Amino acid sequence: MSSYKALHLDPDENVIFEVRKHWIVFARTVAGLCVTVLFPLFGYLALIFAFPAIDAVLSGNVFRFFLFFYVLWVLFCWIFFFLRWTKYFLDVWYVTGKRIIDVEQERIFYRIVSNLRFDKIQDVTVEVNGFLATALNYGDIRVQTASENERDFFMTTVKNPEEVKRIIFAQHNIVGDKTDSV
Amino acid sequence: MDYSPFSVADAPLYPPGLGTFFADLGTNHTAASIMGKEVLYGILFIFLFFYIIVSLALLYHWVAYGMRNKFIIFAEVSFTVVSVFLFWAAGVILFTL
Repeated sequence: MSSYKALHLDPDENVIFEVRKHWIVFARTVAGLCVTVLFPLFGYLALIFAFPAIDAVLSGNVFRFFLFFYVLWVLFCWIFFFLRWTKYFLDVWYVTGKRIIDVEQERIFYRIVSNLRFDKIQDVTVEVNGFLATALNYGDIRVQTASENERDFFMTTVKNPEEVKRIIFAQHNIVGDKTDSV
Repeated sequence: MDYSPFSVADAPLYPPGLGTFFADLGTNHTAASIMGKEVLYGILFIFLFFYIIVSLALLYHWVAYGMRNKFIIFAEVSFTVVSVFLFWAAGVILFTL
């Protein structure tokens, strides 16, 4: 069960929705890392295939010597994977009953947190550009503010952008109705 | 010009330029002859030191900002288990060299 203590929400405020980037953003990193991890293995196999006599030389202790550095290489790739994943996963919008909280995880130890109340929202724009974006249902989303002092919220490659837009508008209307009734 | 049949066996055993290196490996045939075992232990401990520092930074972010999300918990467990296993494997490989 998620706990949102770090967001410092009001007592009557709940997180309705979390907006993250589509997995396709991270898939590129994973594909690159898979190639990086497997490259030494394929290199070793190619060497044996091209020069079968080397197999005898690279056996025993020498093989373990290479294996030791290969394990360190895999460890390096493993932690690099999580560094990238952390940046991907902690880069998020929290849509609550009162506002949108934009957390931009630029890198480790560098994050920007901004708030935008629903009554300040002027428009939400969705842009789905290209075959892949249409097929996998991702796109860019911009939340424009009515205030000159606050910047627009913008996120690229958002998963299911139309649904995000619908939820933000629905919540905007609920907040607007409450304000009007007061 | 020599047109006599050419066999795969006539080809050099090692890639061009690396013949001496591989030949040396073949004759000595121990890792200790390439790099002292103490040096390898040193490399492992330095690597472990930096790995722990980066791991602590990651774990701090997951605990502080992960909101106890199920994916964060899964990441914590899988990262720790696989890292420990790989360091154990590296240690075993080094011990048996």
